[in-house]
Amino acid sequence: MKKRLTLLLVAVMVMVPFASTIQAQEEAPALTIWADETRAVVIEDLGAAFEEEYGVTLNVQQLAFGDIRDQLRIAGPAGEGPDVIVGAHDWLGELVLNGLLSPIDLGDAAADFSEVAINAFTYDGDLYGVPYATENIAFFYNTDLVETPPATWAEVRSLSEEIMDSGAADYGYIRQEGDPYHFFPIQTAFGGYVFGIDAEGSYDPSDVGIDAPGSIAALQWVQDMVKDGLIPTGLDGVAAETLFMDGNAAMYITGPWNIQNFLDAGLNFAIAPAIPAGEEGGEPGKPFIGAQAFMVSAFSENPLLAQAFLTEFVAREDVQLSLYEEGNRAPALLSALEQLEDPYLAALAEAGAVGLPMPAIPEMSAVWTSWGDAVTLAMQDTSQSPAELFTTAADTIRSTIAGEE
Amino acid sequence: MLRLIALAVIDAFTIWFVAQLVPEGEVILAILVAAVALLINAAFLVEGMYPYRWFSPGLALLILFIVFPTIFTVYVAFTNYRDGNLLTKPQARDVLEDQLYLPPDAPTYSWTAFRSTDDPSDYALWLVPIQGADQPVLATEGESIPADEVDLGDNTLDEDGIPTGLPGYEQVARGQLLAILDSVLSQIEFGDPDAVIKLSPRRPLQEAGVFRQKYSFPDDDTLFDNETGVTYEAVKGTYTPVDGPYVNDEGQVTDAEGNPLPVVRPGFYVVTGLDNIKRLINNDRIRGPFVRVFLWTIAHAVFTVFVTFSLGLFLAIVLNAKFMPGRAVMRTALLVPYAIPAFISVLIWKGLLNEQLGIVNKTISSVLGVSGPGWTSSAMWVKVGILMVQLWLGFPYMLLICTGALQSIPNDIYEAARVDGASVLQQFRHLTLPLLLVAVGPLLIASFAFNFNNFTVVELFNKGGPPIAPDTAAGHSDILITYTYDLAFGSGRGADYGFASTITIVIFLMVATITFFNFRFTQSWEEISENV
Repeated sequence: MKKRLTLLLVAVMVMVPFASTIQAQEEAPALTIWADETRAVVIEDLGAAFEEEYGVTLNVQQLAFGDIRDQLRIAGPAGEGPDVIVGAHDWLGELVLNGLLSPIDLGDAAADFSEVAINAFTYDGDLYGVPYATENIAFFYNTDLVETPPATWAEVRSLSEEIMDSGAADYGYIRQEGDPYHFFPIQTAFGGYVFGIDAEGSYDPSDVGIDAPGSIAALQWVQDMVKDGLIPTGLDGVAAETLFMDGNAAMYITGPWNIQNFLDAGLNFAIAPAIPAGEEGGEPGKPFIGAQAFMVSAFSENPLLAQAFLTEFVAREDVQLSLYEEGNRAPALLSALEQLEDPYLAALAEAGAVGLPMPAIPEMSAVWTSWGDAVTLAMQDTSQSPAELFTTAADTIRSTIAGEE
Repeated sequence: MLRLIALAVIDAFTIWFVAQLVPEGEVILAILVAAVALLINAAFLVEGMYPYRWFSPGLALLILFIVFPTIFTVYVAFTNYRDGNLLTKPQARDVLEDQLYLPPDAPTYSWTAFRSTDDPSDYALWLVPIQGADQPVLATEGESIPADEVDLGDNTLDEDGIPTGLPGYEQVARGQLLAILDSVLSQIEFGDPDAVIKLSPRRPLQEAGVFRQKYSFPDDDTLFDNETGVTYEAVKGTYTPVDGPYVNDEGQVTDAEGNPLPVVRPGFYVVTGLDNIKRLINNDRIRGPFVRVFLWTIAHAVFTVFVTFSLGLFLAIVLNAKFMPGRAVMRTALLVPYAIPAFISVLIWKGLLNEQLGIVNKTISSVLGVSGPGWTSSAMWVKVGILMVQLWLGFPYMLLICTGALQSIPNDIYEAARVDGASVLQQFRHLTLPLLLVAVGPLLIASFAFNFNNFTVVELFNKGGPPIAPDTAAGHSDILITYTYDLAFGSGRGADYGFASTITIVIFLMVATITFFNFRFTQSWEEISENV
């Protein structure tokens, strides 16, 4: 027994140094990049030349888009995470709150990028990424059914009535139930808002506008459409898309991700350069702008190299153009954007010129839930008053933001 | 001997692993891993423990993958582990200590790197002022020399003020810079030891300067901001301002303009005791829907077991009858829904029951001329829809266990019953059902407990919707586990794991209580079988 123990002890002593060599560092500097499948392809294609030029290794790991955010919170602090991630700007609040990102500074080069993209990635005054794309939704219409895009939501209604009366299609304008993201352009057209804008041009979370008169008027408009049978109930996103794609509905708000589907289906459609306004001569509806960027993890072992990768690689024109070709989203780099001649992209960009970046505060998940529930209920149960629904939603959001939970 | 080597390898690995875990703050896991390793050693070294050698792999895995997560969940329930407090204390400290700032009067430079020709690990930076300095500087490790005192040899300055060469040094090409940024240049302390020149953390290629550490830690729970002079104390894992150059009448620490200062992120997670439970009890918005969600959770589980068992039993009896042709084929065919993964079936059903485009509602409206029910928008029909999906998913299992149980009931008792003149219904009521329940009763309880927390079906079918009201995260079809998910990830400040763990413990206690009484109840069935 004793002999065995001694033997074991000796063996352990011998093994420990071996075991500890497992964690020895490798010599050549390498950057680990977490990207979704579309972006991973581009980085791998164009990265080879970059690796050769700068003598660094790019280690691209492919993850599902949402997993990048979720796994960063676990892998990052544990030291297993990436140096650079690809992500969307509405992750910012959560990632910054958890101390997972390093701020960057583009200096004068920031002016080379779309202003709204830079604003979207600025959180509490610091920039957290080099943007590569922006996207927004816009008003799509079927050109066989609608000749000129309507200028106001009142016109949308009369057009819908006309189309349905004449039997040209089952429906005029349709929208999915709930879904505050797609409701926001209508809300802003009627003068509503979600968060007020402060003097510095960023969102003021203490000014919740979901129960503003304009917001309520917009919800009232949608509810009246449903009540009068002009918008069908029980549509989810896929069902609404299908109705529009098959020509059974004439007007629909959606984003660039559907353009290819519609083209493949042989649909004759166009994108209105402005989302309809609330009233004659009023300002057009403002869509949310989403932006995508490369960001640096705060737990990177090579923070300076990661910063340099962003400015030396992601900010390059050819990289931004390749990312556009794979992902179909407008490049955030202005010089790359100017080279594109795509009528749909141009119309989307025009409609998005008045857009607002989607808020990125950590409380947004609660905002989406309450706001979305109010929109859903207004459409599902037309006996509920939009004013009451939006007031309840706004109060709930206010108390969440105030930390009362 | 071989065994001892294997044991030594395991021990060495354990020591290494524990040594990794402790500095990361994962003390519980480290203790468990060490305990597991000790048990394995004991099993192999102590003679009396011989039988446990065969158990040890299973037990080790049980402890690491079942016992540890359970303990951890209970632990998390008493912490504030959530967005904003996701890191351990050492991790948060590391992140904060890494942050640099540039003092207002500090000079910044654009830099060019030179490598010593004698010693390739020795570098110098030629610094051209951007602001705050009037002339270029050559910074080597521990020393900075004004440009006019530098011996340039035969070299001259180019138009950007950079020397074309330095005696004893060669300029590092731009292409080589990236590879040495972190591993070399940021490791060297360039310039005077009391004014170390660092590459800018935000624009390393463009700028260098006398960056200073922004946060220091005078003691373990105190954080001092060197830039603003504000002191922060860790309050429940969040660095909250307590003192600074500007304090307003209400005692709040403010910036120069009088705006109250925010807390410093990231924080770390700490044990907060009963905070999560208090929140669950005291918050009307959370507690309000709890009762209705609980009732539907029970109803959902009870109805699911009832309808699946009824259909499964009916089919089992029918297919058990000798006169049924093709029994084997039918039995196999009916198991198909069981073989398809639940999440695929649920999504297919979701499509079939789509209110506008689904085949079910289209058929209803074209045959009956009325519009079909609101499978996703009506509070009642969404529940009916979920039970239909559950029936589809669950009856094959019940068919399977009922078939087995039926075949184990001896035939002679039916003969005796027939001799006594019992009708078919009486036979079923007094013989088949009680005897069957003895065998399948515990399985029904297991099925109930499983469906009590059947996240997949409820979440995939309609995400717990339709909503009840904008002021609650609960929807009409939410069961406790999906409601927990909504609360933890969709109704507050980001994700709140601590709070979610608290609710799961509450759910566990409910399921455990119900199951306990259920098993007590099934013991009465056992008595029936003894009397037969």
